[in-house]
Amino acid sequence: MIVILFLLFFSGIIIESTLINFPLTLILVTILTSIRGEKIVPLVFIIGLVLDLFTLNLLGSNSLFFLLTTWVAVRYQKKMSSGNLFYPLSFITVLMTLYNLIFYKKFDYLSLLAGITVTAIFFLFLTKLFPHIFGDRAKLKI
Amino acid sequence: MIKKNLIYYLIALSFILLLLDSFKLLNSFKSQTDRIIISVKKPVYTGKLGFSTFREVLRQYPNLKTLLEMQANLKRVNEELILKTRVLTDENVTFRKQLEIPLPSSYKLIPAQILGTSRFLEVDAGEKEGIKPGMPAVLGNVYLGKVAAVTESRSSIMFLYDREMQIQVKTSRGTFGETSGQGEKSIALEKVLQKDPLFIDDQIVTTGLDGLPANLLIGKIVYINSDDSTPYKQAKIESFINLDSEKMIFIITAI
Repeated sequence: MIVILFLLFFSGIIIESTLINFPLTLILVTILTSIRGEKIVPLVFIIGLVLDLFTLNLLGSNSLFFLLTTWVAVRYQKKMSSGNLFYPLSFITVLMTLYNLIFYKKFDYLSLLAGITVTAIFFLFLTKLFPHIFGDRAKLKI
Repeated sequence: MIKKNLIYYLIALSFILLLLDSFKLLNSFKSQTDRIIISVKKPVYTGKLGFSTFREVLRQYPNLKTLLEMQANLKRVNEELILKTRVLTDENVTFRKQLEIPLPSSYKLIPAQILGTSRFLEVDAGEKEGIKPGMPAVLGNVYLGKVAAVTESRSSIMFLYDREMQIQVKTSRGTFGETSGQGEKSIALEKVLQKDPLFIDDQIVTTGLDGLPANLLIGKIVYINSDDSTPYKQAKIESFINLDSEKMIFIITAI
């Protein structure tokens, strides 16, 4: 599982830092923490640092933002992973607005719309394709 | 206990790292990682350029027959031109060494390969090459922006159209003003006096008054808003920046 997560995040980081002006890593972090909760906190921290290095941002800035995102997501995890897309999409809207303002210095409706669409697609794709990792079944291990 | 509060410890650690990096205490560590990052980003960006070419080939596919006929004609013309080119190449090598790009020969230009574009343009030249924050980046005589952050081997360049960019400019008619980045390749021209002439298609260049080299191309005016009730005119500039197929840019380290 850790390999899939790492590859997913690393691809996101490379795409975001090299090809597009869009917070793809944030979306991945939000989706995965909404589903997996505190289990991936160390990974989120590392991913934030790697993204900082790749984008030449101040070291710790992305990891701090991602960890705070995780902290909030964990507190509302039941709602986030309830299967109702409204909660994660509202959450990502607020986060992307903040992230765009802080890191990209922009407020862009199109980017926001794209973010919401990508989140919805990722959410459906990941929970359907990897139910043992990302879906509800992942929580039924007792 | 540690596991339970792990998130708080990591938040604190991130905050500490952020503080340390603000005071540039982590630069040596960041420089160590540059080589790995460059080796990852370079092929990705080159791949992106390759993909752009492939997309163009697909777009032109319906015109294939015409293109093949044209190719045959061009082949013949090409033979004639090859001879001419040989003579001109020798001449060109000498000129290129002297001029490099159409800027005054007093400028010291550092070539830098593009590693990626996001909000900033990232290149593979850094402190080692003598690059410092604030230095202007150009392509030909088009002004791209200024160096925003530097590590030992990498730099990020803030585009001219970034919201944090403002520079003094003048038009081809000598009208002075100030640009203000609007993001997404859009630039506004502000602080132009109502009495000063401003026309569509006027070219905009740097003035050289704010430490930048003079007469670097910025773009051309595409829209003018001259509301008489305000002290200044405003205009929209279309930037000349086009990095679609570019691999290399230049940073001016000495004027």
